[in-house]
Amino acid sequence: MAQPMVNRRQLLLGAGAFGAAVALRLLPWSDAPLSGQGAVARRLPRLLGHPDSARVVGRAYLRLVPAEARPELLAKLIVEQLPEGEHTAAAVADGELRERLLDGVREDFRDGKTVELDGWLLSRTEARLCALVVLA
Amino acid sequence: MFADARSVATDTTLEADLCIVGAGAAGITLARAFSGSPVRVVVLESGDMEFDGDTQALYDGPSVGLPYPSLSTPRLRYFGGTTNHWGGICRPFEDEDFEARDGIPFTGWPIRRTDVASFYPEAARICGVTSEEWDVEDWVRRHEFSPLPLEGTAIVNRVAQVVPRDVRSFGDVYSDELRRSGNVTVYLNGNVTGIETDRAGRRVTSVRAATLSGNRFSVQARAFVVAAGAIENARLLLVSNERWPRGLGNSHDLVGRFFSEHPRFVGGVIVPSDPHISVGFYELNVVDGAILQGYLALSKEVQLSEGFLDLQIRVEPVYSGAIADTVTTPSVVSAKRLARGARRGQAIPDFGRHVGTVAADLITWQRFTIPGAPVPVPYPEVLAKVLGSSRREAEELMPLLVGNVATRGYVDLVGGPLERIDLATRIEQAPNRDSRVLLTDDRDELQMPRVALDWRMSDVDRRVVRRALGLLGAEVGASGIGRLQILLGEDDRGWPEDLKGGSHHTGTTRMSDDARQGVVDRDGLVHGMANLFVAGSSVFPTAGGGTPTLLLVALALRLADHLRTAVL
Repeated sequence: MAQPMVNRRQLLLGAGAFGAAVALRLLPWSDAPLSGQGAVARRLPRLLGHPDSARVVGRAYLRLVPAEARPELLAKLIVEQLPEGEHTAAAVADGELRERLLDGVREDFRDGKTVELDGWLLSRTEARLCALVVLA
Repeated sequence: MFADARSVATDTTLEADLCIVGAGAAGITLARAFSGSPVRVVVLESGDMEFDGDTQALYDGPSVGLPYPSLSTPRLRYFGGTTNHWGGICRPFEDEDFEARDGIPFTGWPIRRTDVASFYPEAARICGVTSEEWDVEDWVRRHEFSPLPLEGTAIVNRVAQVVPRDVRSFGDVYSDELRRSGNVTVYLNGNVTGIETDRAGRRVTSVRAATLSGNRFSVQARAFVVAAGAIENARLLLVSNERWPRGLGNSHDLVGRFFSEHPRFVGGVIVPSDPHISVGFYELNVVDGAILQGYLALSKEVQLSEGFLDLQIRVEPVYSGAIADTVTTPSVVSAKRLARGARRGQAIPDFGRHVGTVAADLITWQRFTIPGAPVPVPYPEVLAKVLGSSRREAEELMPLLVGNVATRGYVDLVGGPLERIDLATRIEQAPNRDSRVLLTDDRDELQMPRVALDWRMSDVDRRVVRRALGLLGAEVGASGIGRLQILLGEDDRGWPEDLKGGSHHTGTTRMSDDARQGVVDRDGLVHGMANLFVAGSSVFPTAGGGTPTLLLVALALRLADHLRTAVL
């Protein structure tokens, strides 16, 4: 009979590490709500876990819509799409804000608020979030 | 019974009540419909019981339009016809496939689905279709896999059935039955080279036949059905120009025009947010004895409200590491096109990969666990990364970690990680008068003019692909499935390199009640003729969203009914 390749201690360690990884991912990264478009513009880019990819997409968006290349404007456009707009951006923790942004992204697709970048169909909200990362 | 046309003495005139030209799906169906009746039937089949290169070469002809293989490649010229290499995919036409579209000229059939519905069950049995159930909801209930959880109503799921390989060839399946028939005689190796009419040019009196051995004879009958395939049907009518210089049924210059295919190419790609999302519904599966394959399509509402024809989207998963193994498939073509922007020097290398990362970024918990599991269950890759172990080691730990889920065959359920999903779009072409079969100056061994194919598409076809993929992309995004790229650019003028047809030739003797819009009427009778009928997909005014074989067999049964009650 084949021997297990990982012993029980390793398994428990592994399961614990996995749980921790998930928990870390779910915990808000910053629980200090900020107010004002400038503050929101600084906060929103930090919600994305992969800034390198976001920058690539964001640069493509800004090439298409150069008129939006101002952090405060982008933040305003993103936030006003969210339920309760600026209040949401200022009052909720990162985890919840991330969830609401995700809802906003899906709502964009339902409402046809999309943008085509190199053939890729993206939500306006996510494209603007990526653009914010570029300008951060 | 079977006879060899090469043994018929030159200048012989054979007599029958009904003469059928061609023994493919339509011709064999018609012949069987009369087998055992008092009607004397002669079937003239160009080939023998097996493939023969010299006979097949009679089909040769150039393609002068969109890229298309030699005209002898998609068709087969022996008993059973093209069913001898048929893929076996069947689905009846949808209701809307018969309806006209606002803004697209020459759409709309003179008949409705209800006119042919009663013939479908028998057609399904003839074709070897296992089940008569076509309702996708019914199949979904019985299916192991679920369709993509799309949010929206613009894109619908449909299910096609695939006929088992061993019963696809009409030649193999029905040869014994016709051999035993007392009133049907199938003349093999007999090529029809022309259709003779009376002096008024309104009634066919006979067809001329010839063999590659050199003997020539004719067949007289009360009624004639040309059932030799969409290219050959047009050829026969065009070359029969003794009374009508443009050919039979061609007073309005329609014979051979409106050639249509089911153009197919990879029109889009999805990068999934979840690399383990199930697409099993869209792969071949056996469900209750039927071989099924799901696919996506434009809803009837969108088609009719926006004036689009039908469109099919095949979901073709590409798993990680699969590219190297599929160097000649459309997948690679689409992979190359993923980088098309980079070739133009504008876009960003690996842009699609970054889009996928961004699309998954806001999704947290879901990125690490298998959707639908009773407890949070990590993907093997995730666990392997956490443990610093191999994926295989992680998979071996799964039973300890996830209990019952593992006992259900965890790894099999989850499958390998998806790199992307290719979307193979298959269009119902908009009718295009300039897309045509035409005679050339070149002649075949029997001195018949060869034909050339000038296959063309139109801007409507391009618009429907982009619109359908745009609608699907919105539903994919709203549902959190991933992000979609439309590979067909808005400003592209040409067509993708992987464009090809489905060997579904239609439209060259299109059906219409109006002789100015169609070659045959709703019964398949050639306009202006008293006893010349056409069977097969050449009568389709539009090619539909489904596949042609089932409908052409149903229409052949309908024609047999008409001939029996109104003609013979």
